[in-house]
Formats: sequence, C-alpha cells, structure tokens
Amino acid sequence: MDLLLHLCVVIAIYSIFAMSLNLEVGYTGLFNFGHVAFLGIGAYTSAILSLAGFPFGMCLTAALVAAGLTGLLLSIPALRLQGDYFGIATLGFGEILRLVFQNEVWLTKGPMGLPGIPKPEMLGVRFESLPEYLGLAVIAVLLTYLILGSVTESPFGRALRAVRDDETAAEVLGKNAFAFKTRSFVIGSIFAGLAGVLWAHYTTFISPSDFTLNETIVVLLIVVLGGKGTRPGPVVGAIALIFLQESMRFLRLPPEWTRYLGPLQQMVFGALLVALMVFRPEGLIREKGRK
Amino acid sequence: MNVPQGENGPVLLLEVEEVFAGYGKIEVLHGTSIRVREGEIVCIIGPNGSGKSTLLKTIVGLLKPTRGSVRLSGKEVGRLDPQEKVRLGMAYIPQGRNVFPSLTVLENLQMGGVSLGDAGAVRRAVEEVLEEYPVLKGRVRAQAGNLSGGEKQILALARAVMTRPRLILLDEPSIGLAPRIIEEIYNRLQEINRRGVSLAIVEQNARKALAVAHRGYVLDLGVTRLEDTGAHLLDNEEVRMLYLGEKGNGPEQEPQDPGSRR
Repeated sequence: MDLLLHLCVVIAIYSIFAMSLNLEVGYTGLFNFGHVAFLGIGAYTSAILSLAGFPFGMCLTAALVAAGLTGLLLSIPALRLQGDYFGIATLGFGEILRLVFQNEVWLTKGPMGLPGIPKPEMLGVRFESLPEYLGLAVIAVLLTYLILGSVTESPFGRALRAVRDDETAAEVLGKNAFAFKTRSFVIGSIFAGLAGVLWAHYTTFISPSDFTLNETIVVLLIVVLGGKGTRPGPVVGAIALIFLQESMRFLRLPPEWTRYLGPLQQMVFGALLVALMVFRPEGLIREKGRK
Repeated sequence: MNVPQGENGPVLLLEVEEVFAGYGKIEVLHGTSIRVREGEIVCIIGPNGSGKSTLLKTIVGLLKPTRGSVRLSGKEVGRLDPQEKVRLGMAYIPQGRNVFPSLTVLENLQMGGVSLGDAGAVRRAVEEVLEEYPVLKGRVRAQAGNLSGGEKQILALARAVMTRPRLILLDEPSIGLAPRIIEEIYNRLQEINRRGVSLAIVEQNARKALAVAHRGYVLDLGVTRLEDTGAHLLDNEEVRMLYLGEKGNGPEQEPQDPGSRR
C-alpha cells in the first residue's frame, strides 16, 4: 500500500515536471534538453533555505523565483539560437548546472548531498506522512494543470502555437516571437522548479546525482509518450512510464541477472520510444487536428 | 483606375530609395528603388534571383537595409521590426501560403487581430471577414493544415485583411495554384484594392499581375531596370521577350500544383 502511495507521489511530481516541459516542447516547439536544471534549482534553493531554518512558504516562493529568473537569464542568449542549436545550448546548461551542484561544496555539500530536508509545513498543516504528502502533491498537480491549461487555451497559448508553426508569419502579424518564446520558457522553468521543491521535500535528501541528463530524457519521454501539445498528455505519460518503470522491479529474474536490471530498464525505454515512433508518433493522447 | 490625388498628384504611401540589402555577406539588392502610391496596385516582376522576395522582406522588416531608406507615408521605417510595421498598416503574405497549419481557420484569423485591441473588436472583425470570404465560413473549425492550396491562400489573404492594412505586400500569390483559383485570388485582390488598400505584388509569371496593376517595375540582379504602367510593360517588346517568356511561340504555362483541389 505504501509502495502504491509512493508511486502516486512520484507520478504527481513527474506530471508537474512533464507539464512544464510540455509547455515548451509541445506548445512552443522549444526542444529544451536541459530542463532538469530547473528541477535542480527548485530543489536546491528550497532545500538550502529550509535547512537554514526558513519557513516552507518562503522557501517555495524563493525556489520558484530562482527557477524563473534562471530561465529568463538562460533564455536571453539561448533563444537567439534556432532549433538544434537551442537544444545543444540547453543540454550544455543542464550539465553545467549539475557540475555546479557537484562542485560548489560550500553551498550544496557537493556529491555528499543535502540530507535531512524538513517535510513541508504550510498554513499550520504539516505534510509528514505519505497520504498527507500525496495530498499536497495532488493539489500541486491540479494547480499546475489548471494554470498551464488556462495559459495554453488563452490567446497567449494560441500565439505560442502560431510561433511554433511559423515564426516569420507570426512576426509579420505583429507578434514578437522572441518575447513569446521567452515567456513560455520562463513559465516552464517556474513549474519545473515547483516539481523540484516537491521532490526535495519528499525524499528529504538530494544530491547532484538526482539531476542528471537521465532525468531530462525520462521527462522528454513522458511528454512524447503522453502526447505533446495536449493538456492531459504529460499526466498520462507520467502514469504510464512510472508504472512501467516500477513494475520492472517485480520481474522474477534469476539472482545472477539482477545486476542487469538497471541497463534493462534503459533498453526497455529505448525500445518503447522506437515502438512509439513507429506505431503512434503523436503519443497516447493526440493533439486535435494534428496528423 | 482611380488613384487618390493629393495636391501634387497621387499621395505617396511607400518609398523605397536606393536600398541595399541581403543575407549576411551576400548582397542581393544593390540600390533598388520603388514607390507605391495610395490606392495603387504595383507589380514587381523579374527573373529568378533578381531580388523580388528580398525586396519585400526588406520592406516588411524581416531584413534590414544596409543602406538606403524605406519610408511609409514619409516616415523612415527601414530599421523597424515587422511587428512594429504591422501597427503602421503594413501586411505581408509570404510565398507559399504560410497559414498556421495546426491552428483552426478561426484561430488563424484571430491571430491577425493583433492591432485591434480588445477581444470584442477581434470577434467583430472575424465575423466581418467571414462574411466577405464565405469559402472560409463553413470551415472555421477546420485545421488550416487540412485546407486546399487555394483555401490556404484565401485564408492568408483574409488574415492579412484582419490587420486593417493600408499596404499589403504579396510574394507570388499565384504560385502553384490552378488558373481558376488564381483568377479568384486576383479578383479578391482587386476588391481589396477598391477599398483603398495599396498592393505591392511580386510575381514571376507576371502576365496576370501586370494586367491588374496600375504600375509595374522590372527588377533584375537587384536593381530596378524598368518602371512603367502595367499595360505598357505588358506591351513592351523587351519585357515580353525577357521576362514573360515569350519567344514568339505563345504564352508560358503556369506551373500547376497537382495537390490543389477546388
């Protein structure tokens, strides 16, 4: 039972992370391969501040602001690059940030990580036990779903999709494509930061190895599997992928094979991605009108 | 042909003077000049690589001139970005009918409402445009990517009209369309023009465009080679030989897009 609740919390956090990436990849056409950086910034900011004794509400706010500001700072140079080059720049940024977490020992304790992050307490409620934390995570998922949903359904979201379809055409209709992409990137970064905060206070221990390229790949896979550019896609993708990943734990493998379990997981993900490209390139949920 | 007259003849809307522009180190326009008066249809013809599309991109601000000036109603606009020029009444329809394929017809039109301000004004403008373009009316919920070539071009035109332009720049509006559709597009363009909107049309197969244009320019290797009324250019022996592809054995055929229905 606890395992199931645990899975639900993990799914909730990945859902938020994937929804934030979906705004960028799905709606705006920005292939961000360094999205994990903002998960890390959210997690580290909130962890460091709460370990210094600040109340959770303040840590959360600071973490979201830090993620958003970093997103803004990165977007100014990175969004001047087109397509693939933007992807490479963000990939590099994700790695740089991981190295910062690893090497700035005075701030992050480096590879030792930060243990003992307190469970969150807000408005007099302490989210200590699993069901309580799940409640908090579900509220966060719903808020993210509603906020990002209304963003994408608004004229602003329409402009994002227009920029994704044809930047030049959007510009000659009076839309500043760069400004729209920047805003999308900053909003995406903020919600990735939120996922990071929830992660840090859930596991109560974070280290640089939580924020590797692998996380970016997993979340991209979730977005693509679920159906990019759709509202429920990332949530569906997170449920499907996390269940698949965790169910592999229960494979009855001969003991001498268990050491292959990790690599096997990667292979299954790879095979899944290939199968998806062949049989359902649009993902589980299809964006309306897209072929 | 009734072009509005100012005190000293027709009022100048667009003046492109001795403009140099290109892509990075490659200069395409070497001192091109054209003028468009209010209420006028101007056609720019010329062979491949003569800089016609580059000229339009420079006028709308996608490219910035390295030298020379672009003036709209006497105001220098050469350094402005496209999104600022929309607000000054300039619309641009790029080559190849680029509607937003994943947006619906309605959403495409709404995208054109940027200069109108509030949502109510946009909705009224959309309704007006739909009345004028009944082809689109039945398809407002359709994805623009699923329209035929002709419908896409009509949509691109309707979307440009939504911005309430004084000047529309069109890059090869007839390319890849069946003759009957080209006819319809040009009828629409003349209708828009009758309401006082100036048009600058770039065409490679220029017979149709010259026939409706008040004036025309012949562009060659980035410089303005000839300027005359549309009718005169059509009659000009050299133009017919060099740019309309006439070698005494009948008119050139428009290339046809096998994919364009309706």
